[in-house]
Amino acid sequence: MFSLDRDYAQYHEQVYAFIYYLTFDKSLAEDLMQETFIRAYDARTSFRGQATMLTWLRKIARNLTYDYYKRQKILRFIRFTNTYEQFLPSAEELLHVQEDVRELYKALSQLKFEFRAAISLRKIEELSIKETAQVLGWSEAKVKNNTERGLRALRVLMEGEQTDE
Amino acid sequence: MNDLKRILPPKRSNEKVAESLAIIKARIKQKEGRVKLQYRTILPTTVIAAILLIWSFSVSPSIDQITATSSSINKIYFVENFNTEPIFNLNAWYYIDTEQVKTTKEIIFLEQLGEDLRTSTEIDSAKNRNASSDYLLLFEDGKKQYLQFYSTFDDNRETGFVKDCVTQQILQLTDQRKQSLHDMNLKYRENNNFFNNFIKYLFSVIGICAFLLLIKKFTGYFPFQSNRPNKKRYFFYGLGAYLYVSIFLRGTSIYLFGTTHAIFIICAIFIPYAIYFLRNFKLTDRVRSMWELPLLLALLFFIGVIFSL
Repeated sequence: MFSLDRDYAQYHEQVYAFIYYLTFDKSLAEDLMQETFIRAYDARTSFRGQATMLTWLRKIARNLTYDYYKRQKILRFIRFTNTYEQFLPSAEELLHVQEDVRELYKALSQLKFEFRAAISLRKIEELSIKETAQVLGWSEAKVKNNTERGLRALRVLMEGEQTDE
Repeated sequence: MNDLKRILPPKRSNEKVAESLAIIKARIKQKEGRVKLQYRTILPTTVIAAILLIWSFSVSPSIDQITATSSSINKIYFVENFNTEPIFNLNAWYYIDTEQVKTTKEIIFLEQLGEDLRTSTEIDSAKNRNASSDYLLLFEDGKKQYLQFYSTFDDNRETGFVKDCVTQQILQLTDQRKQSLHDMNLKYRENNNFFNNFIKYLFSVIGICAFLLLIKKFTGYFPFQSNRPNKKRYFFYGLGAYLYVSIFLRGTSIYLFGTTHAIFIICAIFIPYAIYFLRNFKLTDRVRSMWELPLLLALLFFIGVIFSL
């Protein structure tokens, strides 16, 4: 059974980190993390313990983030604004990041949402394929596929960055 | 790609973590105070609103819904009246169904009166008539004959309406007819005073409440409003608004009764949907509060008042 105080204390860091990897925006990650716990509280009776509490929370977080981007996409379409620039992490966002991996952050932030989600869970958080599939609601084959394709896309972006330099 | 393991989220201070938890708790508290609208409450709302729509138009005098326009009224008669009191002032439509057997004296009288009106000869044009004349409107749609009685004496709204009509004839009523109309007027006034209307609507509202409480008992949800018990009051605010609009704003026009019903019921049907979808698209984050519904009801009052002017 979900308990706000207990589960927040236990999982807030992981949930925040996961959302941060999906958004690369500190304040947005904070907002979505709060929303995740609110949603979890609202739906506390529907949690049946089929997955771990953290998996469940990550799943909610993923859905919220996905919804957020979907709305942004509509708004961008309406406002005719540039697509990628808005999602590049600002210099301020990367203050905590070591110099030599900043390009990696930038490249990650430009990946498709599905690739970013797969890579963040599989390669950064080091979850198993099964756990990742549970969080993202995908089949294990899709997890493998998106992780591989995401890594390939990441390599291409990184090589592009290096060529530019 | 080993560098991926070096990717870390920003560090959050203990104060920030605590602050976040406080915000979550505050938002949960705020959310619990909101009206909860979900499909499971919207669906019964729609069903109930549809039932109410049918119900309201079936119990209300259907005659009020007739759109009496200049072209649909084939004759207007007005009666010379030199008294300070109008002979008749029945702000309601009567109709005689030609296919029905007439049993009451009133209907028989009206039928005779209608016949008189049809066969009466034009005595004079309607020009230069008294400002305080009494009127009879005659309208026939093939099956039914409708008569409306009113006086310009105390309802200027109708005067403007009458002036629009093309065919105007004068009917001289016999003393006997005048007396019959006068009696009808008295009877009408006795039956249509504020107290009687109030009791009638009170029973209607109690009926709706009982019906909705029954729905609550079987489904566990209040149609129109929240499934939370402490939100019952919003539901009663809604009914209060309906009562208010129905009793106090109705009666100023023959058209208003239908209008207020329509506005209320349309709002009842569409407002929950509108709110639900606005919330779904996060367009109402800033206005979600316990004041939302009272504000909507205030808007409803406002619309009602505008229509009554």
